Amino acid sequence: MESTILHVAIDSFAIQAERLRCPKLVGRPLALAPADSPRPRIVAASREARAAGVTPGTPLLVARRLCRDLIALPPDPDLYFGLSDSIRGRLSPYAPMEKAGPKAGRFVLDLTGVARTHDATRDRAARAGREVERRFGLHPTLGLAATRLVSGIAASVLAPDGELLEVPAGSEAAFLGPLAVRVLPASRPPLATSRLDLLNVRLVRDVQALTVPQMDAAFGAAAALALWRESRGLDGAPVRAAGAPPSAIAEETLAAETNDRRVLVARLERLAVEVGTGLRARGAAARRLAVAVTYADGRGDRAQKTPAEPVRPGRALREAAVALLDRALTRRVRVRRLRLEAWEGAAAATQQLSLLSASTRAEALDAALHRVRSRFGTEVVFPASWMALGVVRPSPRP
Amino acid sequence: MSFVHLHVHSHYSLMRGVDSLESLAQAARARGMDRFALTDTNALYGFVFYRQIASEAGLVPIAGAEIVPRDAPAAAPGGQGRGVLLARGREGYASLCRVITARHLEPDFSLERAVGRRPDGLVMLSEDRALLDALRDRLPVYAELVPGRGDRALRDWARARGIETVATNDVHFVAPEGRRLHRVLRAIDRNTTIERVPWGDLAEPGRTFASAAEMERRLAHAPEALENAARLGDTCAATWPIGATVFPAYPLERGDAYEILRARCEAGIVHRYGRRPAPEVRARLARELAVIREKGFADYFLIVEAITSRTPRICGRGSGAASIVAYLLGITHVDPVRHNLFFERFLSPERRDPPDIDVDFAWDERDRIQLDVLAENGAPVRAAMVANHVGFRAKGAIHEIAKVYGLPEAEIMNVTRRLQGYWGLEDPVERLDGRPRFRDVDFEPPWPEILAQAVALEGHPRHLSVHSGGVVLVPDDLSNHVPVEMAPKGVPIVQWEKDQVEDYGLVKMDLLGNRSLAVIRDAVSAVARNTGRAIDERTWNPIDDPATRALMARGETIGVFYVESPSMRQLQRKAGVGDFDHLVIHSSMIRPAANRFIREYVRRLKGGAYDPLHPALSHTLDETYGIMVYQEDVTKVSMELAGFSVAQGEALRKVLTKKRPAKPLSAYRDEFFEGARGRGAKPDVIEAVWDMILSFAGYSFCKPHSASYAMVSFRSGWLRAHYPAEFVAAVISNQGGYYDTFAYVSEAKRMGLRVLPPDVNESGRAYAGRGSEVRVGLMQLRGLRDEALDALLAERARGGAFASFAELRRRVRLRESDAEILVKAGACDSIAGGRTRAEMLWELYLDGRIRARGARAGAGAATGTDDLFAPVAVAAPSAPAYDRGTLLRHEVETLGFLLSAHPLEPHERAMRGKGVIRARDLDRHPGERVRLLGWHVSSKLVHTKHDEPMEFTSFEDTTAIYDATFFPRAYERFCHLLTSTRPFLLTGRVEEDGGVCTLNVERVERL
Repeated sequence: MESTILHVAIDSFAIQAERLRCPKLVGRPLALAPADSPRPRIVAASREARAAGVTPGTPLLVARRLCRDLIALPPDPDLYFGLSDSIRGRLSPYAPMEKAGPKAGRFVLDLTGVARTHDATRDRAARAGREVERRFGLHPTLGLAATRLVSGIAASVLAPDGELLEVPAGSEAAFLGPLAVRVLPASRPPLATSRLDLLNVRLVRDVQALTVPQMDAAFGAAAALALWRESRGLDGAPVRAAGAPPSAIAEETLAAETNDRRVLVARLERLAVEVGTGLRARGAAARRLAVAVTYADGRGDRAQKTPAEPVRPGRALREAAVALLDRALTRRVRVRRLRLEAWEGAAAATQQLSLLSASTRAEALDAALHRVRSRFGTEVVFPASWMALGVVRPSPRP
Repeated sequence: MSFVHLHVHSHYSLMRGVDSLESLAQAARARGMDRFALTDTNALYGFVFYRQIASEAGLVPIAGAEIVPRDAPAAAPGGQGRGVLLARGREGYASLCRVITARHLEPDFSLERAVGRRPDGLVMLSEDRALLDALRDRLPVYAELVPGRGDRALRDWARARGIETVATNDVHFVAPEGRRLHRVLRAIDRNTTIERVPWGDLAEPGRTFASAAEMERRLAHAPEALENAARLGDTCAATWPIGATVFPAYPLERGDAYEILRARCEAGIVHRYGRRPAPEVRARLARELAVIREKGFADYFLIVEAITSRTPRICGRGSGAASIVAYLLGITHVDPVRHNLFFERFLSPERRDPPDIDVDFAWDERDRIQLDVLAENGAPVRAAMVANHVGFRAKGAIHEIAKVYGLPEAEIMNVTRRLQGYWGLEDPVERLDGRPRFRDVDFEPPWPEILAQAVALEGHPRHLSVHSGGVVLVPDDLSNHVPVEMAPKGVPIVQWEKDQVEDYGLVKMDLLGNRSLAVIRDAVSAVARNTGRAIDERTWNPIDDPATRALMARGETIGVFYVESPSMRQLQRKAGVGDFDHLVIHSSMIRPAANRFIREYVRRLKGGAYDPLHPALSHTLDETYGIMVYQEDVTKVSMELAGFSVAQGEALRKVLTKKRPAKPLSAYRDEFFEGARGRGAKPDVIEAVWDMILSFAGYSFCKPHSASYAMVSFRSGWLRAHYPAEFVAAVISNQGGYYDTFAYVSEAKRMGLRVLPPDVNESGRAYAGRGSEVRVGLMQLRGLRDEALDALLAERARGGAFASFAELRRRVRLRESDAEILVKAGACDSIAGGRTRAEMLWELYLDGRIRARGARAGAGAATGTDDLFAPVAVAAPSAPAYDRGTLLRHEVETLGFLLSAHPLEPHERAMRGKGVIRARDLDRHPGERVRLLGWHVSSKLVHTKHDEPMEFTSFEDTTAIYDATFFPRAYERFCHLLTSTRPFLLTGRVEEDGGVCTLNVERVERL
């Protein structure tokens, strides 16, 4: 059976989320930037702000000069995660979904076999879009195609607020042909970008005209195969096959960029507590961990590890995360953003340990902390260093 | 006796010490001390300055150094293998220099061995017990008690061993606040952030310039150590004299130096003046030889002659160019008699300092010549290069500090790229924040802290480099005078920069590189190759050539040595004269503090009446229309108006340019005014003359120097006038001068030359000019490896032109990246055989695939495996030619500039009929408000007398280059736009001055 993949794309997701919360912001130039950073930079900008030259990465002060009536708000990750979860909840009755989309504001639904006829499938897709529009007041664009790649491109090439673009099975090549070659992910690595330019290959149809051996010579075997497949709308990898997205993610944009390792460690430990809380609630452990850092200049580094045994939430998880942080940090530039990702696995069977062993006591403490935090929140109890390093602020006494 | 600090680090303990010598001297005085020992790490980098500053502050200097062996733990003040050496008397100083030299030059250096070899006059303090034990019988040693650093245990050990103790504080900063900067320096040095500097690498917080009372309190348990510090401070005073000239010696086996010199001058007379020279030539020679003999300079002249005789292409300059002896020996090429050059500026019986002959060589020959000179004169023992003390400047300091604070590169660059001209950063945030250029910059924390640290770091020595030309020669051993070390480029250098070298009395000669000499060399050889016309550079004198004079008078001198800057070209045009003597005046007149005299000069030159400043000065200043132009005018005028002696006049001249004068300018002013009054000069005349004297502050030139330069200018001007293609090609090939390559290419087009793109069969390495065409050289291709370029040129020379792209790749082993660049730049278009560039690249990649598969198949066959990867031919697809936009973009990517079009062309079309004038028509609109297109060429930031910034900028459109002025208001409004290379539309008023029109900018729009 042919696959049918629906891509639901919400342009400027964080901006739309903010407008949802405060409808007065609709139609006005809006940007998001951390509020308490000494040198805030724009992390997202609305179409109106972008028209005035404000783009992600622009220092807020500059952005205000470029766009005098700019409204700048601090990002509210909880709002976006919450909205994402709600949308996902609304969409899930329509078809099986990826747990996390390729990026914020993108949702991938596998409509394969969910309806008897093609028209019914298409109708279901349209209804899913309308559901998002009706329930949330958002204006998604929808791409429907036999592959994840083509449905994603279809959703992207539509103007925002466009409706559904369907690429019927078998017409992928014709759909992609007139598009610029850069829509293909395989065209984006530096070597491919440079050689496509030198060989005057501008459109996807130019790629389609090439044979695999020709592309092999110009771009290398792997890229050649990827270009050949992608230019015909074939996915490099099937939906939800290898490379499943992480099951738990915690991230933070630092209010004050820093390269002080002590602060970064404390911040990461806090993220580890968040990730660990989720894992522990499901009785799971992390079979794979990744730490990603984004520096003040927008560049990033990443380190990941699949340990021999899944890492249990608690101290082991914190220590593993900190070890990854030390690997990830390769530059002396200040860090703007930290992200911890965990892939869930079954926790290893608990070993029979002495009641008095240190690890058992630590386990018991972690378990107790988990219970308290599950009930009252992450910051109800924390190491003193978090406060000393500004990770949490002392709450005013009632 | 009072406590004396015997272990003190200044900022000459590079990347570790914090305070300047002046700060340390002030600290000593403030604490009531009359001396301290300067003991920088492995160095005497600031020794002569220290002597001078100590003398000014009424302190007794003590020479010393802390010797840290190579294998000592990287930082850790105190500790293993380290010792502080103090010098007793001149002998001890020489021993100290020898040990420091050994530390830098001997790979297996050991302090124990180096000191033990010859410890004469040395005293050692150390915390290293093994070292103290090992050397106690060779020289006086003291256990160094540093409070809080295990001093009690060390004292007990020393007493048990019968070794005396001495108290120090291993001073790293005057006050505790200095530790912050110390930490920043360590972070920069270790290429890390301030948070990550290991504690062990930092001096402890207590390592300050503590008062005697404080030291007594902290070492109350060791009174004998405090007393010993005072006693050693007394015995190690470095009060022996310095400053007597140390002359190099001409090898004795060649005979009596003076007689040899005289004979060579006689031979030179015939060569330069013929068999019957004018009597004044003989008289001048006799006078110079008498001074040279009296002062013992004959060896020096002969050594310089031996150096300059290696090549005909030199420019002997500086005050030495006034010497007829130098002219006769071929060291200089300007006749001092004909051009009335003042010999006493160079040598006089009254002058105490050594002679100074600077010689320029072609820039690409200089290094080889320097190495030869060093080798032939016994480096590193008797010869070495002068060092440069490379200090932090505002831009570098801000950059480095911001990095150790962890700021991203882009944010740092956003500040530093605007720093042009802001070298003096006092009160920086307020200063920069208010500057128009910084309008868009956000100085939020941590910037204020970074800028404050940058102010503190400005001027701090950071590392040593090799002075571009200074060579020091001594008759005995450099280590008797100054430590020697090896520069990273493998050249021995003395530890002092030129001022300390001179003040100590070492004789330095400058062997410098000059691009224009290479331009002349390359153009002359191209002329010989293209036309068969040979030019003898030893006798070539084009100063009377009418075409060259006319060119100079029109100011069409871009590319011409020393006359190409906008201000020089403007002056040439305003003056309207192009002869040699006026060029000599003009090249001396263009200097920062003398601009205000230019208008008056032009007026007088064109016949305007004027009264001499004073009748006594008429003789001196007549040739420069009553205006002081040359350095030696300061000497002459002070002699004639105020009755100064030659030595006094020379001292006044020097004080205007010297960083650290022995006597302040105000003292000379008083003497000058008093002397002039005594000779009956009126107060307003004295003021006017003194005002002119002050215009020589900063830099200025003596007439012999300007005359020598003007000769090079005339030679390059002659080449531009008669062989423009060969000339422009040589200018660009030698990396130009004042302008970038694009500006020279534009100028070539304006000169009517066709600039042809690079071509694998037609281009050489360098640009080549012939007739009316200039061919871009393959050197211009960005990213093309030198090896590939060499291989291509060698194969073409061997086997002739390449018939096709395939043949090129068959005959020359090019990497894919090299071939890509050649194709992308259009260098293979002539061998494309009708294919597009993209098709050639397909051929390249497919061919590479076959080769790679072939290699793998070969490897498979060798191991007996199946031939799975046997090469299979794959047809190249057809590919269309690039569109115009892609072609131009590739041109910029490979050449660095647009060659086949001017970046203003599309805008010019768009602006047609909209009242935009062309630059070549600027002269037709004096006084009018006009609009012009502009592509930024060069700019120069200056400050008004009210310290407001303004900028002189050159722009070009497709028809001409023109000068524009941003007065302070316009500068403030628009300077932040001028930081990017892009087309502009300028609006302003055309100002006419002396027949030259410039644009007074009122508005700038980005296109």
